[in-house]
Amino acid sequence: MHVDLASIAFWVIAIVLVGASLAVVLQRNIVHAALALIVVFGAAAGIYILLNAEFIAIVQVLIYAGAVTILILFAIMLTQHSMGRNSNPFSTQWWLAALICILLGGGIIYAVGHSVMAIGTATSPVLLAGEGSGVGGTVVRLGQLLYSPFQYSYVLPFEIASVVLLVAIVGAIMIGREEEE
Amino acid sequence: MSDVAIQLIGALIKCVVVIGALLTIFAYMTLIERRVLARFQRRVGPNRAGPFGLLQPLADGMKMAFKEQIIPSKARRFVFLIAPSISVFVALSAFAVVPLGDTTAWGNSVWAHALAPYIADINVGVLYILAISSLAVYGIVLGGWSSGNHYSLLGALRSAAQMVSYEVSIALSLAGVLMFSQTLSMVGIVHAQVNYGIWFILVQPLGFLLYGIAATAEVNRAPFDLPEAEQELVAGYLTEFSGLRWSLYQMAEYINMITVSSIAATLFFGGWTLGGLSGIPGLPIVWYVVKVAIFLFIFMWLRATLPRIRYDQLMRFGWQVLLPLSVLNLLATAVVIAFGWPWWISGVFGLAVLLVGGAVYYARMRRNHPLTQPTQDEIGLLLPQSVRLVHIEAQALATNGTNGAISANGSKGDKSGASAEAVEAGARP
Amino acid sequence: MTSQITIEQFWLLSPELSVVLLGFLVLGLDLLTKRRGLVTAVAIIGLAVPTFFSISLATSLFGPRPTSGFFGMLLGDQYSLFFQFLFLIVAFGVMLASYGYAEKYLRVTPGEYYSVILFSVAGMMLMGSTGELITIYIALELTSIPLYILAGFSRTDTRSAEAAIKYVLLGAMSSAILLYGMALTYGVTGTTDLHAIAAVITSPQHGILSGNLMLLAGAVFMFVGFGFKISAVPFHMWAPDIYEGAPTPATLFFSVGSKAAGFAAIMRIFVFGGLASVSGNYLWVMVAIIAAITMTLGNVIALLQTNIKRMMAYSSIGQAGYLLVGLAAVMIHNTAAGILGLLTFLAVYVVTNIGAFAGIIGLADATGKENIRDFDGLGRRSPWIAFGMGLCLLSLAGIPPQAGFMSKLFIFFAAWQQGSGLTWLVVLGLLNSAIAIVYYVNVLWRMFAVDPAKRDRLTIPGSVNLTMTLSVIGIIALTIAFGVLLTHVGTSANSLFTLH
Repeated sequence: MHVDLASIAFWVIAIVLVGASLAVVLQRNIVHAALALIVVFGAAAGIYILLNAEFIAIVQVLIYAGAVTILILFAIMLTQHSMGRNSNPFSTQWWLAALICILLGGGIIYAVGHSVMAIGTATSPVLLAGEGSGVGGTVVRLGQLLYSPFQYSYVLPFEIASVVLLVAIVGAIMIGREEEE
Repeated sequence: MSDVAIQLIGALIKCVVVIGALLTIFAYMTLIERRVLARFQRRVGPNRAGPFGLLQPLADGMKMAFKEQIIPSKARRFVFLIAPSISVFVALSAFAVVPLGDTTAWGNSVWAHALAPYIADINVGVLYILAISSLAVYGIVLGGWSSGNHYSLLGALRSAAQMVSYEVSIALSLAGVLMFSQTLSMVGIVHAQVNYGIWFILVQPLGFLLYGIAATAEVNRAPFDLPEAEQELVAGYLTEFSGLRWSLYQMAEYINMITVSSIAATLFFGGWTLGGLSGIPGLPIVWYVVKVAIFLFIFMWLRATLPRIRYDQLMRFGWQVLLPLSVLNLLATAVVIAFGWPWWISGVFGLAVLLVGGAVYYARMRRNHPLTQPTQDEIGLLLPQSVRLVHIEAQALATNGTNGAISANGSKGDKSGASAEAVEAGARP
Repeated sequence: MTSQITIEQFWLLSPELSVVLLGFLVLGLDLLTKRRGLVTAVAIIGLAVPTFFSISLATSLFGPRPTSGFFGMLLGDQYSLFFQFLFLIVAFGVMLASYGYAEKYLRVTPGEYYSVILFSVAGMMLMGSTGELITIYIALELTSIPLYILAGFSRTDTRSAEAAIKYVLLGAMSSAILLYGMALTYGVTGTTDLHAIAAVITSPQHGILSGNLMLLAGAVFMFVGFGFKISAVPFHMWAPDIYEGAPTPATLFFSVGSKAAGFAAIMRIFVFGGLASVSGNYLWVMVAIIAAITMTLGNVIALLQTNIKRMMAYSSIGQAGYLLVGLAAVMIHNTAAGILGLLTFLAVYVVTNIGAFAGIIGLADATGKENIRDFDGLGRRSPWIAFGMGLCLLSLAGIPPQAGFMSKLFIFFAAWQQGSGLTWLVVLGLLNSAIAIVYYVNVLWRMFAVDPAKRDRLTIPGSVNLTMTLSVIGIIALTIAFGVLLTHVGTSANSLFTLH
C-alpha cells in the first residue's frame, strides 16, 4: 500500500474527527461535549486543508470553532448548572438511535464504495464550475463562483442567504425582546 | 537534502526562534510597561534589580515559578489546568504568518527561502490570524468556567461577549485594505503597498482607527479591560489563577498585543518597508520592530491615560458606533474599487468621516462638559443622579419627616441636609 | 444557458424580489407609524406589485419571457409561474385572515409579523422557480426560518414556545438530511444544476443510471428531508403538536404554504431533475408505500381528535398522502398526468384550507376556544362563517360536485392509469376518502345540528369574514371553471418536461 504524508495526515485527522464526534454525543457533561465540538470543527478544517481548500478551512475555524461554539457555550453557561456531572443526559432510546446510525452509516459507506461517479468525467461548463482556474488560487476562484456577474456563479443563492440572515435577526430580536408594557 | 526537508528544518528553527523571542519580549514588556507607566505617573518604577531594573523580569519569573499554584476544590481540574495553555498556544500560533521581512531577505538560495523571516506565508494569511484569534476567547471562557467561581464565570462571559462583538468590527475594518491589496497574504499586502508606492494608512485612515480601537478591545487592554475589572469582578477570569498559570495569561495578553501591533504595522504601515531604506540587508527587521514598538507604546499610553469604560458603554460602542462605521468604510472602499477611482478618494473619504465624527463628538463633549455644567458650589453636592447616599437621606428623613418637604439647598453651605432629590432638582436647572 | 446576468433576468426575479422589498417596506413602515391598519393595508395591497410582475411574466408584457436566469438558477417556465400565483394567494389569504387575530392575541408589532410572512412567501416562490440544488436549499431555509418564528409568536403561551422549539429542532434535522442528500447527489453527478443532473443521469456514457446506490441514497435523503416539510408519515410527528401550539393564523400558513412549497421542490427535483428515474426506476415504490401509510394514518387518527387544529393537522397529513399518490403516479412513468392532478389538487387545497382555517380563526378570535365541541351550533351563532367553513370541509372531504372532489379524482385517475402497480393504492385512497368524510361531517353536524351552550351571536372580525367570502367565491369559481384551471395547470405540468 502506498503511504504518503497526505494520507497519513488524513487518517490521523479522520480518527480524531470521529473520536471527537463520538465524544460530543457521549460526554455526560455538556460543556465537555461542546469542547469536543470545537475539536470536530478543527479536524474538519484539517480535512479541508488536505483538499487544498484553505479558504474554507480558515472560515470553518473562524465561524464554527470561533463563533458558533462560543455562542453555544454562552447559552449553556448562562442557562443551566453546567458544572453538573450529568448535564447531558441520554435519551432512553439511545440503543435504537445507535442501531439506526450504524445501519445508515454502513449503508452509506457501502453505497459510496460501490457507485460510479460522473464527477471525474465531467465536461460541461456547469460541471466544471468547481474547477480552480489556477490564477490567484482558490480564494479568487471562490470569490468568482460566489458573486461574479459575468461567469457561472452562485450569486442568486448568495443574495437569498443574506435575506435568510436578516429574517433570522428579526426573529431573534422579536423573540428575545423584553415585553414593553 | 530534499527541498521539503529543508523547508521543515527551516520552519522548525524559525518556530524555536520566534517562540523564544516572544517569551523574552513578553518578560521585558512587563518591565517596560511598568517603567513607562511610572513615568506617566511621575514615579520612578522598578529600578532595583540590576542596572535600570533589567533583572526585574527574571526576579518576577522566579517568584512566579516558585509560587504555590492553587487549584480550587470546586474547579474542573482538567480544563482548569489546560485553559491558560490554550491562551498561550493560540497567541503564539497567530504570530506564525506575521512577516518580519521579505521572502528574499537573506538571498535567493533554498536555505534562504526556508529561513525567510516569517514562519509561513499562506494565501489566506489575514483570515488565518482572524480565525486563530477568534479561538483566543476559549482560553478565557474555559478558565473562568472551570474555576467554579461566579466572579470568574461572569468575567469570562463578559470577555467572550466583548471579543465576539469586536471581532466583527476587526474583520470589517481590515476588509478595506484587503480590497486594495487584492490578496489575503501578509507578504502580498506589503508588496501591494510597495507597488502602490504608499502605505495603506493613507488609503484607509478610518479603517486604521477602527481597527486600532477594535484591536484594543480584542486584546482586553485598557480602556477595554473589563474582564479584569477588579472593582466589579474581583479579577475576572483570573481570580482563581495563581503562580505560573496566572503568568501564562499575562503572557498571552502581551503576545496578542504584539500580534495586533504587527498586523497594524503590516497592513497599514508597510510592514518591514520604509521607502528606499528597506533595501539594506538586516534593516527591514529594524523598521518592523520600530513600527511595532510605537504601537506597543501607544497601548501603554492609552492605559495610562484613559479610564476604563462601563460594560454597557462598551457593548453599545461596539455595536452602534464601531460596526456601522466599519460597514460604511467597507461600502465606500467598495465603491472606489468598483468604479476604478484613484486611491486618494478613499483616503479623503476616511478623513472626512473622521472629521465629521470628531466634530460631533466635540459638540457632545462641549454640551456635557463639566465646565459648562453648574459647579459643585452652585448646586451643592455634585453627584450622578443614580447615586443615593443612605446616611444623608436618612438624616434628611429624620430632620424633615417626608421626602417632599425637603427644601433644596441650592446655593451654598448646608450640604449635609441635601437629599438626593434636592441634588436632582438642582442638577436640572 | 446565458453567460451573463442581464436586466431581463431581474424581470424574471421581480415577483420574488418585490415580495422581499415589500417585506422591507412593511418592516420599515412599522418604525414610522403606530397604526396597525395602515401597515396591514400596505402589506396586503402591496401584494399587487408582485402579482403585476407575475402577470407581466405570464403574458410576456415586456417582450418575450426569458426561459432562465442567473446561470440557470432561476427558471421562467409555466411551472414557476403557477407556484408564484399560488403562493401570492397564500400570502393574501394568510395576512387577511390574521389581521384581527394578530391584533388581539399576539403582542407583536404588525410590521414584524407581516414582514416575516412576506419573507417566507418569497422563499416559497423561489422554491418553485429555481432549478438548482443550493438555491432550493437556501430558499427552503428562507421559507422555514420565518415559520419557526411564527410558531413561537405568542410569546406568553408555553404551548407556542414548545411548538417553536420542536419545529426548529425537527426543521434543522430535516434540513440536514436534505442537505446530505444533495451532497451525495452532487458527489455522483458533479453538478448542482438540476438540468445538468438530469443530463448526467440519463446520458448512457456515464452509466450511473442503473443501480447507482449513492445516487439512490441521495434521492432518498432528499425525499426524507422534504418528507418532513410536507409532513409525510413517518416524518409527520411534529405536525399535530406544532399546529396545535402555534397561533392559528400561523397554523394556516404551515398547512398551506409549507406543504405546497415542499411539493413544488419535490416535483422540481424528482421530475425536472430526473432523480425519479434513478436506480432502475423503482423509487416510486417507496413513495407509494409512504403515500399509503400517510393517508391511512392521517385520516384514522384525525377521527380521534378533539382539538380542531390537531384534527386539521391530521387531515393535512391525509391530504399529503393523496398528493403522494399523485407523485407515485408521476414517478412510475414520468407522465404529465400525475403532475396535472397534483397541481390542481394543490390549488384547490390551498383555497379550501384558507377557508376552513378562516372559520377556525373566526371562532378562536371571538371565543378564544379551538376544540371541536366549541363548534356546537355555530350555524346559529355565526351563519356565514359556519356555511363557508362547511363548504370548505365538504370540498376537503371530496364530496361531489366540488372542486376538491374533481382534483382528487384526477390524482386517483392518474394513478389508476399507471396500471396494476398502483391499483391497490387507488383503492386504499378511496377507502381513506370514505373515512375522511366521517370527521369532516362530524364538524358539520356539530355546527348545524347540535344546540350550543350559549346562543349569542359571535362578532367575527371583518377581515375573517372577507377571507371566508373570498375563499367561498374561490371554491365556487374553481368548481365552475374547473376546465379553465385544467388547461392552465396542464401547460404548467408540461413545462416540467419540456427541457428534456
